[in-house]
Amino acid sequence: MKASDRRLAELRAEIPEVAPADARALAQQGAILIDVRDADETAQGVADGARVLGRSFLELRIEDAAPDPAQPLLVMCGSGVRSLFAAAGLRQLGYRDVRSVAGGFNAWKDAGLPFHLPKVLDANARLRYARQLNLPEVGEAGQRKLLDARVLLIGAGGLGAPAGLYLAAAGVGTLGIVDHDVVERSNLNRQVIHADGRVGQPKVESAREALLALNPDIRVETHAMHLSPDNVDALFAQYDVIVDGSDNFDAHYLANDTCVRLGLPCVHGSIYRFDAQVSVFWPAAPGGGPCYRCLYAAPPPPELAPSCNEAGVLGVVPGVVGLLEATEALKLVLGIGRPLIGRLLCYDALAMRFRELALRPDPHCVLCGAGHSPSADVKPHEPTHHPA
Amino acid sequence: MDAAARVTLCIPAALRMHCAGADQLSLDATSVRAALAAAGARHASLSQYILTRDGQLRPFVKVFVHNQDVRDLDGLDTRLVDGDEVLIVPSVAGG
Repeated sequence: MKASDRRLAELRAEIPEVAPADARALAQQGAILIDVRDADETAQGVADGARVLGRSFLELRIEDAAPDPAQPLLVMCGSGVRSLFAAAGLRQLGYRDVRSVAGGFNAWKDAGLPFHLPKVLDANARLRYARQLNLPEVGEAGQRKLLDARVLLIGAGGLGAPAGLYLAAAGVGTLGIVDHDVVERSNLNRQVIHADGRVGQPKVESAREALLALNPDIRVETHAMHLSPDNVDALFAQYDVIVDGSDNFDAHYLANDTCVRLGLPCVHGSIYRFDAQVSVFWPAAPGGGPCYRCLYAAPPPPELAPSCNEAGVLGVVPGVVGLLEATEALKLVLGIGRPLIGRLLCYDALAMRFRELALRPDPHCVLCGAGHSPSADVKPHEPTHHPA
Repeated sequence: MDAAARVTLCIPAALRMHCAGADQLSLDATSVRAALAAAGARHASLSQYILTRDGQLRPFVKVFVHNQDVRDLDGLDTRLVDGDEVLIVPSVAGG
């Protein structure tokens, strides 16, 4: 008898096996179904609810998927052999309830159980995203989430420029850009998505050219228009995450109010000279969270609003802030880490200091507070009261 | 009466024009309200930006102590002790 056959016989005695239909029922009750097949196999289909971790890095990645060693694990491969070896490895790590799905994915499919065809990364994509595919927090499943994601950038300016470039580089499948402006030479100290040769072009077109030059595999949707209460709902409804890189209070409030109404996360960034603020406003987040009006119920009247055009800006400041926004957008799409929900990150570039301030939903918020219906109480751009 | 604490009022870039460019003010105060009043005695336009005529925080300015919004503490009556930093955080819109 070959050593592998002998070991397999031992494993069959050691590792409990479970029929595919029973595995599905257990998964629905909270067990974690883990697919350890190679990428070329999972491209043919993945059981609904399965986490594709692969065999190569299974032991290194399992704790992210199942931090609790008491959590029941169901291991699936193609035919139910490799899953026995994988299950043994998981038991050695300390997982107490590990079972192998008998007959693997083939038996799952034959039993008529539900599966889906995942988006496949081609060889080019595997090279392009190789460095982030290696991250357990991203991996193939995460990369497919990025490719499926639709992110809207409000503004292709100081914040949108760096954010757009890095979101495109990371492989966000669909990037929308809304901006009504044209490229001016005075933009180029910070809006690095544009170029001297494109001065005079609509910013959305200039940005599109730069993004597709960096990553031709993504889709860039351009919206050359002024964001207004008349068009904002239809536009935002097409996207999963809104990255607010706008440069005026009207747009910040319009973005916030619309995101609250539509239940979308709004990644906020704003700057004044060397100071900046970043947060994620998302009352509809699984754990809840504040909106921009919970923080600032109303904008300052124009005569008090700090004038950004006169203030001046060193390009690195929106550069840093735009990348913080891009980071938050990627985390939201991937579902990893702790997004800046309920936290306001204040950046002082001169002191090189970051402060994190706690934000809570305001129960009296006119938009998302208790008893307020976001669809009814505040219309986008409704005039706001400024006590004298 | 409590002895006043020596506290620091941190001024963001957007409001430094109201206090001759200072990025912080050292003040003696026992509460946030008293700290803002002390700042206003030196720089009237600073407190006018932060507070309404009837002494309420304007809706576009936040004040934080120990990284907490004073709204979630005791509001303007939040007590201060020696060494406390009071952060003024106004809304800014640049991008």
